Amino acid sequence: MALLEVENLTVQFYTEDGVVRAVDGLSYEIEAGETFAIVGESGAGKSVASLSLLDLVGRPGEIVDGEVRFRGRNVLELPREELRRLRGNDVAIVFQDSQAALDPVYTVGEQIVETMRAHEVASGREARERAIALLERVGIADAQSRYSDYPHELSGGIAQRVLVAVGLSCEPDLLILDEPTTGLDVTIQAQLLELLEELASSFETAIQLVTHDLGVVAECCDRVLVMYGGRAVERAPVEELFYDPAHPYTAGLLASIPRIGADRERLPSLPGGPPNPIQPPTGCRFHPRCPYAEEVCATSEPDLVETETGTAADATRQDHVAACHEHTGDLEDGLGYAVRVVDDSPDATRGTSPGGSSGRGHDDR
Amino acid sequence: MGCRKGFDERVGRRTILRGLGAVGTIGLSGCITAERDDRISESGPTELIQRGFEATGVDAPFETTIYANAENGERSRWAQLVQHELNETGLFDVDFEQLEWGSYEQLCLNMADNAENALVTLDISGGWDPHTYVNSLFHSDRRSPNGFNFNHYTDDRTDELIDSGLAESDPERRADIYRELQERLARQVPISIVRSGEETAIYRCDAIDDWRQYPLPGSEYDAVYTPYGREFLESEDGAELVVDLPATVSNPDPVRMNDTTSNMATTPIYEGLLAVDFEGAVRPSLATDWEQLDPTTYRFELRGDVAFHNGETLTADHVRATFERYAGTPRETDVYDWYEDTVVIDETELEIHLEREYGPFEVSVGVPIVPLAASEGALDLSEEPTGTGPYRFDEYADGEYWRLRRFDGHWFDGDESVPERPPVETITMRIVPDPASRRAAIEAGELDLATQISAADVTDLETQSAYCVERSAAGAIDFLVYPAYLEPFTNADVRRGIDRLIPRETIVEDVYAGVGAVAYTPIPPLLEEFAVDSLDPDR
Amino acid sequence: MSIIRYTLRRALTAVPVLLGATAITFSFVYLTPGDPVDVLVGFDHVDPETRAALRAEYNLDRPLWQQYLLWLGDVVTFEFGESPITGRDVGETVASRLPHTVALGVASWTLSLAIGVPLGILAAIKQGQPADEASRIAALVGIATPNFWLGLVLLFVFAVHLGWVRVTPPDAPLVSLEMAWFVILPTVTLATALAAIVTRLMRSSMRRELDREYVRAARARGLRERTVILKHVLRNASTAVVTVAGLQIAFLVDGAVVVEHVFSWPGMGQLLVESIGRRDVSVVQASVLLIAVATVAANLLVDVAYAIIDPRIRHDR
Ligand code: SF4
Repeated sequence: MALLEVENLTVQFYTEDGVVRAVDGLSYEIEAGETFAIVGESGAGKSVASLSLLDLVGRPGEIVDGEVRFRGRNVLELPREELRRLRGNDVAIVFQDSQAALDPVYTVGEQIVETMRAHEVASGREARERAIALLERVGIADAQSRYSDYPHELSGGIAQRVLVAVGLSCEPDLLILDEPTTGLDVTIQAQLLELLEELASSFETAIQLVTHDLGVVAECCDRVLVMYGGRAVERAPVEELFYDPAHPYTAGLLASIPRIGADRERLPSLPGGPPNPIQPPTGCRFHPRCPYAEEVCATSEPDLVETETGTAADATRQDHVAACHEHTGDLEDGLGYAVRVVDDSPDATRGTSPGGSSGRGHDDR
Repeated sequence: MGCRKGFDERVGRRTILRGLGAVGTIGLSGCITAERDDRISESGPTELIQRGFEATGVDAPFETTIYANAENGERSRWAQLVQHELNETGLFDVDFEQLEWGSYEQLCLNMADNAENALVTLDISGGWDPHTYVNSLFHSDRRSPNGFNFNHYTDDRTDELIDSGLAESDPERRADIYRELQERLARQVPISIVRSGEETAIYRCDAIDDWRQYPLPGSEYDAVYTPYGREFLESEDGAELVVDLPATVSNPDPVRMNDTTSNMATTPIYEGLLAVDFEGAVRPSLATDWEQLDPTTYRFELRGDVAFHNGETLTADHVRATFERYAGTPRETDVYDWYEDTVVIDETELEIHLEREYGPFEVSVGVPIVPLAASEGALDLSEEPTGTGPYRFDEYADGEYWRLRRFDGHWFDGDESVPERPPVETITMRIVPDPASRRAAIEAGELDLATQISAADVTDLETQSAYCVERSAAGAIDFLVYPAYLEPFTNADVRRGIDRLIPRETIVEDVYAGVGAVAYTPIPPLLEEFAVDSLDPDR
Repeated sequence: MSIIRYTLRRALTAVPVLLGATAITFSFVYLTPGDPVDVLVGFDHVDPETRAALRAEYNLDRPLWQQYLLWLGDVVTFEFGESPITGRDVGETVASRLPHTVALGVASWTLSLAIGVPLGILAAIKQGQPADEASRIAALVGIATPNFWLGLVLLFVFAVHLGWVRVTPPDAPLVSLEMAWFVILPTVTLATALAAIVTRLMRSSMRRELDREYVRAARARGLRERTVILKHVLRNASTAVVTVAGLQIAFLVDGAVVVEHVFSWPGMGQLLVESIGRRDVSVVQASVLLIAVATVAANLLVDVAYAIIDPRIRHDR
């Protein structure tokens, strides 16, 4: 049994314009201690999926189907008090906007201590000491005085670290990090990622990393799930995904990452924008943007299948799956892209860039 | 809200402009009928107005506004009735507007100076002398803000008649003067008199046996025990009577008193040489006897053994000091309108010399006689009102209550109609500013008696056996002021025409629920000798 | 910056405001039409000499700026002198009325918060549910009910018909059981509209805060719902309520005029109305100044409370 099993998770939002399926039949698993990434453009449903793990989707959203099992128990059906004990203690979330996620009127220390007290992890002086130790642990200099700082007195990077410290305060088994590096500058990003890697191993915490940035994924993850329009389009161990992306969308994402250390300006590589959430495209949701789309793509929806066999994907297996007609053999012309691996640095940082080998191949610039 | 707003007087000497009219009662007075001025003009009201329009070159419809103050619902309603009548003729296009009393008062006082195109509705209450009604409203010396001649009406003959009425001390000749004056005013119509009012008291029948209502505001509580008026309130000896005051007591010193409430609160404390009883007759009070030696000299015989609340004994010096204390004070005119000097003959005899012959002398001379300590500055009457009356000042909780206690050293020995000492030992006057709350307080038994309750509430409570109502025709008149400084109102025909359109009967019957009486002339029927029942314009 | 330093700094900035308030108060009262001497003499036709003497007695004959400086001297020394109208000491007059208004004001203010805050919280967390609807209707009725009417209805029901309380204040010290019992009805009358406003405001600012990310984050940390609402959301939401609670002082004065009238309550509201009616300029000035001071003080308190609640404020500037 995996630490976390997500099965057929479906979340809807009721907006003025209509019903939005933010997450549509999502399934995946995370093993204890594993670092798992969910990647997608904003609006792909990855944040909503993360919130669902702790049943934190508030109105106007609603989890309409599926199960989220943590250690075999369905989180979505837990009694209130048990759910509360799970939150922060077994599964913790580090939110994307760290300034907003901290209550502005309490000090950093108070909020860490409060979390520990809520789970009877520690209290009083002990809690304070542990909180300061945690702040040191996440690499905050002068933790003693930062302890009594208010959120607005912190820089973005420090705030993000504080949030990580809060997340780790009860030594959770699963830590969900929602875009932890957004808005941070490159050096701090790198430091933070390093820190996460280190913490994950020393706390034996599984991590679900939610990001739109494949570069970050490459840094530290074991497996990756790519989401598009609320659905999983590809799931694979990180190496396989980078060396052998099985979905044109993944390939497009890969094409858009500059190499780490290079100019980080985001380069548009995928034409068009995210699909209309209220009226998603028929067939393959990616087809309006897909350079390889054929007639079948607009009419029939590709299933998530094993890229090797073309058989239906199984969430419990850790193999490479993707949702593209190519893998069931329904695509006439096939996918015309190739991956070129560049290894140009001493520490062998991986960089991927597509090579336009086919006549219809897409241009990434 | 509020009770009477405005500024006023010692009863019998001043004219009060009132924000909220007192509630009156059944019409006692016959008064003049509507046909009275048929001989002034053979034409109907619209023809009169049209003629006036032609004479002044004004085209119909003439636009103007009629005002009332918002606190006075009844006044607003009758103003609207007048508005309706005028608009019905097609000759006017009249708007109606309500203002708060403060702004309204300013509008009225300054209407002539600002040449306002405005008709205003008001009432005043006066005293026992006709002068108080006509002087302030019509004399050219009393053009506002020096009086209530709001539209600055100026007529030499009117001034002459008012002045000679004041200077005449023979009652019959005075009556003639005031008759002529009122006839003149009825022809000129600088303002239209609409109604004469009434004073009402409502009381709990279980607490008060029989109440006598004084016709003029300010002296209501004299009825508790008044040797001069041959009235007293029967009750157990030592009882407490709880009555209302419609506002706080602003100043109990007679020379600085400027509201009715202070007057109500202090009448049982003070006594004067003479007093006017419930029927309007002048009676001896601290004086036992008096006579007019010549037109400007009066001799007074004082009562012996009259003690002040502070232990002084009344002498002729007190009288002189009291009069002279008025010099230079806000209430100076109460005395110095007529006073020349006092000659003390002995302890109990004195002569008062007037600077001129003065018609209302007998109703004016009764100012509160105060201790020498007050004249000498040793006693502050603002803090501690002290007189010779049957009640002395006990305590004042500002804004809450004013309390009087029986004065055991009062001079009166009792006679066949009034006992030696008042049965009521304590009079607590509770300050209840809101008329509806006054009603609630009387219903809850917290007041034994309340004055100035709204007409509707009086009518309502009257049907219940627990409450008794006492009414008296009052010295109050409601009137409509024309902007007589402004065309077409400069024309007397226009004013006369409007005057004849005023639905007086409807106003009295519907707006005032039959309380009060229709009126055409400024001197109210309360002053029997001076009021006119019918006017003969040919005289 | 410490709270104490912050407070002192804010208090210093209030000084020019107060000075401005005295000037406005002073000129405002003088610009009001109507000559106090006319009132003093009852619009009578008095001897010009007497009139002049009366003017001189109360410094009305001096230029306005001199009058203002003289008055400012009185204000600073708390020596307002004698009222030309009542002949009583102005300071004492105001001092005798002030406790009544303060008592009624504090009671209504407390009651309105005691009702409005929990009701607002309840409505916010039960958004769209019957409790929310009920509180919305109650608040609507509360705001729409005129004080005057409500006061009279309460008076007739509880004092006249049920006889539970008195119609007029008892002859008892202000701080006494009888008085406390009496003050219930005026307090309820005055507090009703305030409570309604507080409820609506509390609800809307709670709703706004409930949508903030830190609330979700607090829940994600496994805090008890009670802690989330009462410790985190309430404190953040309370800044808006503190502002209104502070500004209510003006509302209280306004409402007090009506409520004091209905309940024969000898407070500042009545004093002000009476004094304006009598053109008792000295009392009006002292009262208005007092209200201005109270308003400035309330604003200061609001700012300090703000700074205590929200550290961002005191760290600013
Ligand atoms: S199914 Fe068709 S449209 Fe969708 S990704 Fe594959 S090729 Fe492109």
